Amino acid sequence: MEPVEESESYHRGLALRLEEMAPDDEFPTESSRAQREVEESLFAEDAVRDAAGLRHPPAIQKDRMRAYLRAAVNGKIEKYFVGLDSSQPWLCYWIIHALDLLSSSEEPVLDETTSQETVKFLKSCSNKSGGYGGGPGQVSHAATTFAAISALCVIGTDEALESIDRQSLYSFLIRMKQPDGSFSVTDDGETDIRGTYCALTAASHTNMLTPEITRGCKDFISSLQSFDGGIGGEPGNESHGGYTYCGVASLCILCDSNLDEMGKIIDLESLKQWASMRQMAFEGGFQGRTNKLVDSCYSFWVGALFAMLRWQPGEPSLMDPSRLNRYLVNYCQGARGGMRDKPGVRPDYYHTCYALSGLSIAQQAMCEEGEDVPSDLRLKLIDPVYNLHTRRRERVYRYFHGRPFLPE
Amino acid sequence: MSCTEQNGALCMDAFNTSELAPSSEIAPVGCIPYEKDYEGYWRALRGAIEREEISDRGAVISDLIIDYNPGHYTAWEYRRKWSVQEGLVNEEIQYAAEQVVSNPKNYQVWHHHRRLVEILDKPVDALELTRNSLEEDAKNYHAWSYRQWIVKKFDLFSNEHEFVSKFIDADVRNNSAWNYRYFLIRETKFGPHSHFVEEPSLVQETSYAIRKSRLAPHNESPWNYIRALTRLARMPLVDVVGLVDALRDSNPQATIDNRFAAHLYADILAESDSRADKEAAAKLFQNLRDSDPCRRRYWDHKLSTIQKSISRS
Ligand SMILES: [Zn+2]
Repeated sequence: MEPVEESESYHRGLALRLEEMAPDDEFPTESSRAQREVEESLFAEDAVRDAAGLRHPPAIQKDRMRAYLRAAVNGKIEKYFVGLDSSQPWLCYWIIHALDLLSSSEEPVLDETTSQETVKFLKSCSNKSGGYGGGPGQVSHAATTFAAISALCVIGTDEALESIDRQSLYSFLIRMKQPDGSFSVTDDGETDIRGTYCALTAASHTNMLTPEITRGCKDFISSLQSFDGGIGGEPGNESHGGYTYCGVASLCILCDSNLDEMGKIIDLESLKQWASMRQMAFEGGFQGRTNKLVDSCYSFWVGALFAMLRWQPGEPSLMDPSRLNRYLVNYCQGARGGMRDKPGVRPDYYHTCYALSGLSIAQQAMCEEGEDVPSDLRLKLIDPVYNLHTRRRERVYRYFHGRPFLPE
Repeated sequence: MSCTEQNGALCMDAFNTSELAPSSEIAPVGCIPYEKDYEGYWRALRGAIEREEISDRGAVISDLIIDYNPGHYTAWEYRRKWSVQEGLVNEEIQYAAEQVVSNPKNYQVWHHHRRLVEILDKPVDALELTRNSLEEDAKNYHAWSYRQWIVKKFDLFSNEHEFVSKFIDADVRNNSAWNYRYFLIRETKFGPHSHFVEEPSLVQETSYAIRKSRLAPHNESPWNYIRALTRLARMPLVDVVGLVDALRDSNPQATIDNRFAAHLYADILAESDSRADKEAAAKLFQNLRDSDPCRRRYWDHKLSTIQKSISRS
């Protein structure tokens, strides 16, 4: 990619930031070439902005984000998303959770009618034998069960929470349980840490964390920590931001976020090292694996690790939140709304959800460090373990903890 | 049973209108505008599933659905049941292999292949399949993960060192390949397969990693690998032959300028009982803090840990 425009600030920025680019040691390989391309695409973005006379970093365009998301409420999304036909509860969660983060009030995200229809729709994705599938008539899957329940938590009405049939959900989760303590994602599906996280979240929200559900989970998670400190999908697999999130968030559920307890199951020091190394000095965002490229969704998957790994509230997070904020705000906003993985690719609902969730974490850390984040730019606070606005999680907790569960 | 030569309308002729499930409920949020054909295929398959009908015509329809949406795990599950029922698992595994080629980043496709291999209890073409896939995308997570599983399940370790070395030679920054190398070392030295191959010793392996780290010193992968090997060997970092020399280098500034080398060297010094070594470690962490501002908070954390250890000594 060639520099678009040469200007004074372009050169100034170049000089300042050049030394933060990943050194290729004059030994280029496929990885370092791909890395250099991304760095150059960020420079090109800066040049375009300089040419347009935008001196200050642009802010998060909340209205534009809302418009992008609102168009998907009671309206159709693009045809090209047919590949998400088995992820319909996910689409629902990504969209309404992102709207929730952007909302400036604690009011419900959806109007009454849409909220009722969504509850009804999610119910139609559920199966008699428990759990939720990717759409009506599809078999139940741990991930879409997580997504459906999370969406119902965002909606948060009594009707939404009542619609969860705990007895059948419980028998679904028990049916997914494997002898080694892990969970498979469907009756005949793959078994990896996603299954564990999704099952534990569903059980935790609905107050069903019985010993049968939690049995063997800690041993399974412990077997997933890789030699570099991160966590892979299955024992022996490469450390990966998404799986590391699932592993650590699962431990938070199992250990009630007690880091001393969590430290008995995985090595937290090497985990901190692995997580810290994922932040890209030049880009500011996170990569998901060593020597891979920056991607905005890891702003949440990796960013949330820092929020979960703090020894006590008030202790600074180990990441650099301003850099993360800069990556998301400067480079990931789509021109017509939505958030994208990186410059050069189109925005989508998944990246909009996770980039904004990551931005919420970055803003929170910036505020704690005394940086000024104007209130009209603030996103709502999230609970990093569940990726829900903290108030939504509190509401679900209160609702189900007033209703103890006894398996039939 | 594949539909590639037939057209979808013909496949749909196998179903009466009364056998189709009603149109699906519409999502109020994130509604996908389905093409008519796709909607029809799903109504046919959903109808079959609800009748508990596992049939050739259902399998044909599931293939059409997968063409549109390879993530349709319900359609994949249907195909598994059908191929087992009809005794067509050998044929189905070929179908799975073709689908892996066109959808290499899809969970369901790889899982389908893996389940069928489990059912047949032989590693049908799986090594070739993962090799081809990794030649296309050398960091494909599913392919590396599947290869680990196959190699372990069927004791296929004999050529794997050579296999992974080629990937590291092609791109020394390929962390997936380094991870696989570690998997091999751990399994062949410490796993149930340790009798199976002439594996390199940990010492040889460490010097391999040191050599590779010199090609591109700012490559995190071999540095992590070296740390991991010493942990495997329960060996203090300082005892790794040649490592400290490699770190000190002929030019000490080179180590300080390289955050990976400096970090490892500082961790070695921090393990030492000598106060002077610990203070040298603190100095290195201080340098890292100044030269790597993105990770300032992490280096602060390392610095405060070593300072506590100094004040205790
Ligand atoms: Zn992404």
